[in-house]
Amino acid sequence: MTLLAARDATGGYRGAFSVREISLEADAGRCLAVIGPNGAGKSTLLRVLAGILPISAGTVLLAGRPLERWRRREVARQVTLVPQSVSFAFPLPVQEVVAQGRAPHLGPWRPPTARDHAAVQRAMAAVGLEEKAHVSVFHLSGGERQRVILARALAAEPRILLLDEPAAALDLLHQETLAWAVRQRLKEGVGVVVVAHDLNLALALADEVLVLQQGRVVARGEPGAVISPELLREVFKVEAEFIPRPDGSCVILPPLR
Amino acid sequence: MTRAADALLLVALSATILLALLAGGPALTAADAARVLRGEGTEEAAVVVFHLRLPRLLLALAVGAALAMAGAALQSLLANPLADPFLLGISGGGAASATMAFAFLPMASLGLVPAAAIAGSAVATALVWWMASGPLGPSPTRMILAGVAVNAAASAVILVVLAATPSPRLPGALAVTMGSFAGATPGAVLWLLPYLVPPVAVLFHYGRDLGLLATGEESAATLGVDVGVVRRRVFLAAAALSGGAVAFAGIIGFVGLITPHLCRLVWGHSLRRLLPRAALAGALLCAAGDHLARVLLAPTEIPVGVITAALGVPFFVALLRRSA
Amino acid sequence: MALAPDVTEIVFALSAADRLVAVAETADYPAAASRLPRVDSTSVEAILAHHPDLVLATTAGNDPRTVSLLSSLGIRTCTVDPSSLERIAEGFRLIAEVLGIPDRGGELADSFRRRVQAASSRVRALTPKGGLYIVWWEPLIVAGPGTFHHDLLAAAGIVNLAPGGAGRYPRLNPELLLDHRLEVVVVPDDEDSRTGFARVAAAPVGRRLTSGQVALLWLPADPASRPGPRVADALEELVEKRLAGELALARPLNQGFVPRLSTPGASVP
Repeated sequence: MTLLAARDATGGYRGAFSVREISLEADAGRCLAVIGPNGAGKSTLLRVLAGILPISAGTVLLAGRPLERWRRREVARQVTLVPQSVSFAFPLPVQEVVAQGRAPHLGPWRPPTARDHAAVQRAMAAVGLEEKAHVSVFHLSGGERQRVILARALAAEPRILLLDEPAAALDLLHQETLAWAVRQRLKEGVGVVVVAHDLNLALALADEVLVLQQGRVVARGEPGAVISPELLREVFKVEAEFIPRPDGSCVILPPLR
Repeated sequence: MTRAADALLLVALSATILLALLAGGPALTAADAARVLRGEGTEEAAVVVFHLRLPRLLLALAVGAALAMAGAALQSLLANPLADPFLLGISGGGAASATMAFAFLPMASLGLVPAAAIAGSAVATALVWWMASGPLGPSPTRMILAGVAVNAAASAVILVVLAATPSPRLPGALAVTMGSFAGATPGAVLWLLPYLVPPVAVLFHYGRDLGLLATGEESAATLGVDVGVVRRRVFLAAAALSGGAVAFAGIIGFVGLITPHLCRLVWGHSLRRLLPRAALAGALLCAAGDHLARVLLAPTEIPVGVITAALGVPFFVALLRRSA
Repeated sequence: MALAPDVTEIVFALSAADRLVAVAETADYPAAASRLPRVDSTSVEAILAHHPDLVLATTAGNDPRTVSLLSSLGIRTCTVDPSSLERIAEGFRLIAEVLGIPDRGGELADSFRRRVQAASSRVRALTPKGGLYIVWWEPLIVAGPGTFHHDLLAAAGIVNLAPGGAGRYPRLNPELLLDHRLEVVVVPDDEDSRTGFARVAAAPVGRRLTSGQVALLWLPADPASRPGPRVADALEELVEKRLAGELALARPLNQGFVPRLSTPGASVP
């Protein structure tokens, strides 16, 4: 079932960083990975899909209705963007940040109920932050902060999760935790769009891959078919090494030597 | 902990209110004032308590609450712990305009000084907004920079006006820039209400959104905050609170900056929890500050801003050092 | 050159006006002073343009930095400090000395002292009253100890209620206007303080002022606020008004808008 769809959508910041004529579908229980070199417009695309950046042509449909005809809060109840980082002005405890994820459901006045509290607890558990519940975000490492932001998004219990470089600051163990948490949501029927630099993460999670270059889609399809040495040469301008694994998939090594 | 702090705040506030009414000046002994409060005193004593001390107390409470709430809201709105009505130039604009009015208006129209202050705050607010507006709307950083610029301009205007003030009016004009509750009348308190009540309602309505905005505008937008609308309304509300305060009491520094932080250290950062406490704490700081300003060198008055700073800063430093 | 109106006045009183090359912009007494060239007393350059060999200044109104800059440029300066009636008289002597006419200075100072003596002896028998010299009504700013206004009150048998130690012109709690110790207020009579008074009189804080419990003594603003020879005039007028007020107690009368009487029933000495 298609939850969120872009039809020839053009939008983004005025001037630099915009995406053009994008068409895609985010389906329930499926993961779409967006890859591409720096500056291709991947983060911009996520923000256009979340309705945070304006659309100048084409349309983005949420449950079949154009985004601009939804109220901001109604969009936020269904679509949650997880930005790469959030700057905290005040030393909020982790639990309070995660609880902010419930805001779209509460509106300005409704007090949180047991159900809201349960969602917050579940989200913290999913990323392994229960023990840090009362620690100030100022005292967390970069990776821990990234998990806090992910937990906040999970607490919102959206139908569509837009992840912007979710693994950028995570160590190996927590990359595994992340992958596990995302798979759990996929099983629950959540649609996921993930922007990833780490092609291995894209290969591991994605059902479909979208390749962006200079704001346009240049390739789209099954990860195994799309992510090829030729594509990397053409789009990323690198000669990467593809190491086959016993199960038929492969691991990509960047040419660092 | 927070329960105890709530209780402490209420007790301190009640004590200050009682003290201000009983021992607020040279004209009455505390016993005479107490008799008035019991409904027994002489008519003359009643005038002192109800027409002088009460309006002054109410003005101090209202202005303290307004400044503290405006500060708390601006800090969250702009995701910047340094934001306050003073930094954003709103108080400065009001004071510059009030000083100008005081220095140059014919004596008979000095009643217009508060109106001039309101107008000055409004102009400063509009200027900050206009200067900060970029292609994506006013960003917090640009607003702070614009505020600093407007504030600097306002300070310059005040200095120029003071230099050009006819010398008999100079002490009075200086007093206007220093902030005081001495001129309080029941009318001033009533006039302050429209600058107080609707903005407070706006701040409470957007309390949750403000909490989200403290983590950045994009982060707030992803959680359903209509950033443009909230930014515009909250800024206007905070400006009205600050403008009303500066109009009837002049510039009283530190209250808008320090009170919210003190309260954040004790009660956390949720605006819903913070706003009422900040309001009470700001009211307490101003009322207690005004009381000390009256009694320390009585009957001489010390500028109340000196006292609020002297009270607030050490307390703030102590809490800041203690908290991690 | 004289940098302040009161210093100008002193030079005229010493009959040495021919020595003045320029006066401060605000100098308007005696009338002849207004005909002299004007100079912005804050501008060292403007002062230098007149090539003065002697600059007379006062601590009440001139920036000491201007004066010290002038003397560092080799110009002889003389600063008077009119912070009491005695110091005003001392200033006459000082200025006369630097002008090379010490005898005239001594005379002027002595006659000033004699007039002060004579005036204050007329009220010596009266019971001293608590009072204030009002500089500004809203906010309430008064003359405190360390000003010649304080002396002026004392010489007229009025105990200044303004406390010391808070600057020479402290800002007071307006509640003091309702304090029963306040019996007299002395106000320089100009448009600003008339309107200021009208505003205060209309408010609750002005109750004692309008009900006749406090005697309001208006003094001509010009001599009362300029520490020159005419301060003696101001004092004589003040004493006159005090005596008139005391006398009027014998036959109660109401003068309407500006009551000048003490509380009916107060003891007559």
